[in-house]
Amino acid sequence: MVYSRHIRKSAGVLIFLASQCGFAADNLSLEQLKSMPIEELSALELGIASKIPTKIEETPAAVYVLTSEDIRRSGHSSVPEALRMVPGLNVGAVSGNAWAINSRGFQETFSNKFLVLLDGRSLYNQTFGGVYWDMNDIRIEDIERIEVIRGPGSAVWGANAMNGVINIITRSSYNTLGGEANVTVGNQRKELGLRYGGELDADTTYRVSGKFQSTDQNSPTEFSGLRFKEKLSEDASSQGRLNLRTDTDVGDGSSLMIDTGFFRGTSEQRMFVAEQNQITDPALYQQVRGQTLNNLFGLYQQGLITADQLGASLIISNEDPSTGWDCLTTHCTTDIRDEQRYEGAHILGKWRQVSGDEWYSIQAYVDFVKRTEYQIEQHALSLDIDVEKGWQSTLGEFAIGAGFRTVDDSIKPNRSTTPVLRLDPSQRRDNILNFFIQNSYAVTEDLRLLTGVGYEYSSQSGSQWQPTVRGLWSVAPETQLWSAMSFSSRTPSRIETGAVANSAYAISPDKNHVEEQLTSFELGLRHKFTDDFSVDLSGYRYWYRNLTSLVIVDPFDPVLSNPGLLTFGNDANVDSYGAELAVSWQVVPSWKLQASYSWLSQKEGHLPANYESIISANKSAEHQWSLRSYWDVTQDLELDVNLYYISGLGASNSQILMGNEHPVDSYLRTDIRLGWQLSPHAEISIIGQNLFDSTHEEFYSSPINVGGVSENTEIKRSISAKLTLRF
Amino acid sequence: MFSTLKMQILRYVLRKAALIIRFLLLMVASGLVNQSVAYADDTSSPLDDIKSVYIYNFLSFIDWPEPQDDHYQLCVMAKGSMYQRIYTVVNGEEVEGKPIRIRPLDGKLEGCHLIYWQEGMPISSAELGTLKNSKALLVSDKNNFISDGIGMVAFETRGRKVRVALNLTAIEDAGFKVSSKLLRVVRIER
Repeated sequence: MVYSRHIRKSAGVLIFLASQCGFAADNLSLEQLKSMPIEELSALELGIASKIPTKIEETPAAVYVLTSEDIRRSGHSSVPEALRMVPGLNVGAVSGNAWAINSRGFQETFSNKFLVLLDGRSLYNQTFGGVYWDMNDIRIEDIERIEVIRGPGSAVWGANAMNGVINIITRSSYNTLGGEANVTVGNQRKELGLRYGGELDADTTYRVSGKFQSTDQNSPTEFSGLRFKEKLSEDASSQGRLNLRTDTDVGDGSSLMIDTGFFRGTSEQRMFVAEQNQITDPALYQQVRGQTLNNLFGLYQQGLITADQLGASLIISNEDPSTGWDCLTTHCTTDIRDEQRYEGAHILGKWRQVSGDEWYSIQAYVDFVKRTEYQIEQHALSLDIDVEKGWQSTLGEFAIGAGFRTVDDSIKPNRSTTPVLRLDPSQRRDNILNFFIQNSYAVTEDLRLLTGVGYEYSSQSGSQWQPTVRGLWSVAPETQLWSAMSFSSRTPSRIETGAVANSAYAISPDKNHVEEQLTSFELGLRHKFTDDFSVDLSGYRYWYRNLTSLVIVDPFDPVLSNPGLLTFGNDANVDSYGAELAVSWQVVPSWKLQASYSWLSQKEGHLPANYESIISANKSAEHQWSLRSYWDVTQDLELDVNLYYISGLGASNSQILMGNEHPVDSYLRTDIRLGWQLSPHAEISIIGQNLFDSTHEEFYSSPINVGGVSENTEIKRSISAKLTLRF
Repeated sequence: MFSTLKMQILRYVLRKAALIIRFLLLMVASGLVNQSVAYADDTSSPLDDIKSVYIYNFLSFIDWPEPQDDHYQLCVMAKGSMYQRIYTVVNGEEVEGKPIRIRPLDGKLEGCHLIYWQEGMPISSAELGTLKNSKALLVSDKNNFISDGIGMVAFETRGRKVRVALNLTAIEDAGFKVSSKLLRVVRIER
């Protein structure tokens, strides 16, 4: 029998959180070790203690872990794509190089309420408030696990972890010796990845890894070109990156990790922006454009031309589709086909020591990114230092930490003739200081109480306190009930405090903008029916206060061509609630099923009279489910099927900008992977994505979120073959 | 005469005292030894736990050459605590419906499917040679175990981590087949 030979593994409840905790494997029983998948066992590191408890079944929070095996078998080739597997996470591809990811509502391209960390380094862009996923497309085979905490993580992780934390952890170089090359060729994406790991001496190992990828254009949506211009799908991208990581065992329970890397790439984008008409002299305009400069919209408003005439004029004014100026008034709609260019580098060092019941860690990094697009060129240089200590006492487990972060950023106008978006000041340094303390105390044998408070001082928004109280009750060995009450906040981004628009609408910056606040209540239940079947259920009730909105002070007057005036408001309130369910079932030893369902409801409460949502409550899917099946057909052959259903999204109901604002239909996405191990050194897999859909739309960015009418694209069906060689 | 008697008594006392001192020393020493053994055992136990579970996992991630028996026989040459640990892990377990048996390796290699030889247990080069001909999967945590062409699977420890290393040439020459799941997480030597 060559059929898969398995031993009984429990259905995946017993997974461990590495980031917060590293594994206190000392506390693991033989039974627990036995039930671990082999990739988890190989990643174990003894005695590294934690910010919060080690085992997921002992964590009073909604957590989910994607293992390297989950990622490999999903066929996904990037982190944002792999995050589709996480229950309760809203993932939508805006285009082939941009994603909108968040949990529990407020999904947007810059989902500013979610923190993303890569080996402890923040990928959160403080300028815009969010993550540029295209700049962080690391080699996915280097990832050991991705841990996702839904719900407030601010007490420990600091502000901006308001809605949750995504922790991406790469494999130790000690576990990745030797060479590995992978080549992917498909109709949409081509990728070459390389890794080589070796030993420098008895105590130090290293890993060099890198990847190059290029992704082709997808398909335009029916709304492309504001419906009257050429339909395009400007979303191709390419990038390359190189990383070096060393891990050293210093002795006496100490270890040192150093990670450095750089990347460079380009991402296409199409955008419409209202720019000031450069040619205000009607005679000159006639000469240059061959047309009469008319305030067309004004004429229409006054009833001097009909809607048909207005429409015809719009199309006539677009005879040259490559430049396309639509000068309705004092402002022209500019069709931008942009190639965003980015590059960056970082170096990070992390020292950890474990001795007896105590542990320490010191981490420091410097991170530089540069990104150039049509409107702006941005640079950001950050320095971050974190010190943490944990210990065990009769009063339970304690963790304390302090961190300092300084970000120097500059935003300068780029090619835009009249920069629509400027920041005042264009260059600024922000300093953030934070402290936290956390305690996990066993009240009784079955009841554990976790309390924590985080304090943060930001030079931008002052002091914030972020407390959390969490409890976990082990009702029975196979049943745990947990609950949490938290208060968390989000520091305003640079845009919210210093944006100056130069468009049909002007923006007056709000220097006194305060942080957004969230009070939340969470409840969770985990139950293991058998060793092979388990469920994880969580529910939440959120009260958002002081949410950022864009208030329309003066509307734009197309008749008189008077610019409108906007300002950032701080007083929108939204209530939301929902539930998330994850089920894991090892049907037979060679077949595993994982299913999830999440439900979300958001209600906008108090809002200013005339407002424009920065991020809309309508744009997160109300219902989502996924079904993943992993089948070992034989020992050398794997057949995996992933289904994802996302219900339709509403329009954000913008009062200012028209054109690209539209609902997105629900979709069912089917991915199938067939993997075959040719020899111990070679594997090949065929991956089909969106198999039963030639194209579908997943998400569009709100103009206000990205500073213009940015076009999304329809994601195409893709078939690819991936070859992995080990040497 | 009197002095000789005194000398004899003194000698007797000294001899007794020496015995007592030796006895006391032995007591202290043995106490120390016991303590240090206990100490070493305590600190190394999580690593040994992981190794024991790996040994159990090998049975399902490695295919034995045909013809296969109706059971797995583990032959273990290890200290009592390690032996007990492996026993606890595999006791009552089955892999693909085949029960796992365990016995100490007492020179008899017949019938062994997996031989685990703990570092520090005495072995002669002649015995090593016989291991090679045993048709069993050879596992050890001895340094350079897989580099000399005999060993197949080694546990390598650095700091707080255990890593598995495989000599694929030795494993494949003996007719074993390793699953890709295991290959992905180990160090491979040729």
